Amino acid sequence: MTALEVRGLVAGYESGAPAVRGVDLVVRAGEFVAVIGPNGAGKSTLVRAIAGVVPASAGEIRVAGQDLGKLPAYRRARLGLGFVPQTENVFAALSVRENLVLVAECAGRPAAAGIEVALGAFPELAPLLGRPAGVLSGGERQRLAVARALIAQPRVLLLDEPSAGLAPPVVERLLATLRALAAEGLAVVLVEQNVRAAFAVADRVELLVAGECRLAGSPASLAADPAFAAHYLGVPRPGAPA
Amino acid sequence: MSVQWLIDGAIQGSVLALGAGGVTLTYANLRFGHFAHGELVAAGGYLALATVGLLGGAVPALGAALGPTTVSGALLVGTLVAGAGVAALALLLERFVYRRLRARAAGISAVMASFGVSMALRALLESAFTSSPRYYSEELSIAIERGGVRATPDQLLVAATALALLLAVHLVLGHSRLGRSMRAAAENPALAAVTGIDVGRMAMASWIVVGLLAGVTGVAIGVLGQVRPAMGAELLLPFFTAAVLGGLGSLPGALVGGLLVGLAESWAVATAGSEWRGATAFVIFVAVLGLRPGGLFGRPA
Repeated sequence: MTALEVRGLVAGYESGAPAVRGVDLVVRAGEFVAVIGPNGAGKSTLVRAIAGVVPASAGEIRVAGQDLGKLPAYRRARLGLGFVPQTENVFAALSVRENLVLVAECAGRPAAAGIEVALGAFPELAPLLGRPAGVLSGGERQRLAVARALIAQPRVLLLDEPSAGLAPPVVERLLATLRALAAEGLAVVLVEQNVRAAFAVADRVELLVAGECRLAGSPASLAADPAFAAHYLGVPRPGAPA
Repeated sequence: MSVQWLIDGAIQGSVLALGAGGVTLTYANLRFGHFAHGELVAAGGYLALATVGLLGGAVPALGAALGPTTVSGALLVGTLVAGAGVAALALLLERFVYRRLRARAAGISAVMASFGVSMALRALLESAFTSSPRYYSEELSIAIERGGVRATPDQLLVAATALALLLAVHLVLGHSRLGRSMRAAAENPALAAVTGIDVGRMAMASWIVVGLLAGVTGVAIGVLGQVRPAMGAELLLPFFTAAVLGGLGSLPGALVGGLLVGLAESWAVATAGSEWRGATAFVIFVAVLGLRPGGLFGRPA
């Protein structure tokens, strides 16, 4: 079943030079898609536009068949689109518990159920419930951010470089948790700078360059594709126009 | 020296706390210094005055003073009208003036616009009611004396109402779903939106609370003194001083800051003379900004 269907998405703050220029992205339920690409390729803008925090000037965004493209971000969140921003992704002045309860309330779920979901995915948050989220370490904060997104029981979870600035073992655990969630039917779209990490967990990798999807495929097929190295590393292909 | 200044200061301080509560909430939730807060306060004072005039005349029983106070049943209704009416006024200002301006960088556009709103509202009040002082009641509130200090029943009622209202707002914002959502929307609007919070509605909810506080502040000032178009604007500096002293954004801070500024003013009047009242808030304001800009309860700036 198709969970997320993006067609012809054009988005970005500057209307003259959109950062995302006509992207198609289809993700099935249970599929784990990693979006990779060089700095400035439009990866962040892509997921932010799907979530509704960056304006889109053209294109369609469907979740489970329903067109969300014209709805404000808060409606998209309530209709099954989860988004974990790269930075400032928890409410620093609220306690960890309040951060979790808030999402549960917005999703119309009991507070206790929300906390249960969060601790189910990340038991290590249990001793931190009473603390302000602003004092958490980078890894703890990133886990809280993902836990928050899960409480709303989204169909699609978009993550903007959750591994940035984290120690490798922490990244590994975080990605393993996401992998397990995908196995339970969640559609995951992970923006990832670290190609090795992306290849290790994704079912499919999308290569974004200059706001367009240049290549897509399983990690194995991409790794074997000489065009991949050309696009991603910027090495010109033999015979390609300059 | 008599301790009368302590009582006077605490009573004035509770009114300042109410005004500072509105200022600090506007700053925390709507992200700008609202210089028309004084006129919201005055609008509340006049809405209650109009209600007293209409109701007191139509229903004589409502015009009678309650107990030892000068406050009538009509004024109690007027207080509700003031709170609701100023909340509605604040929503209109949000819709037609502040909503777009607040979105701009630095928020200075909204601050400047609030100066304009302040002048326009005050001119409107003056043309509708003239600038001569008005009173809710012709009666005098007779002071009660205990152990050498005096306070009128009106003063005690106003102070108790101010403290109860601030406590109620603090509890609602601190412990309810609405309060959590409002704080979240204030801290990080983009994250609040992807969490499923309608940020625009939370701004409206904040204005309703601010309007309610401002309206009741106007009635409180009117009960203890006069209803005049400048009744709120004259206290804007002490309001801001109390809010900054307590820590901008903190409601308990506004309460403590209001009481401290009220006590300091009262002490200055008792020791140096009444011409020093106005300077007191200014001195505290400058001292706080210089020594501890985050205030007593604020996070370090």
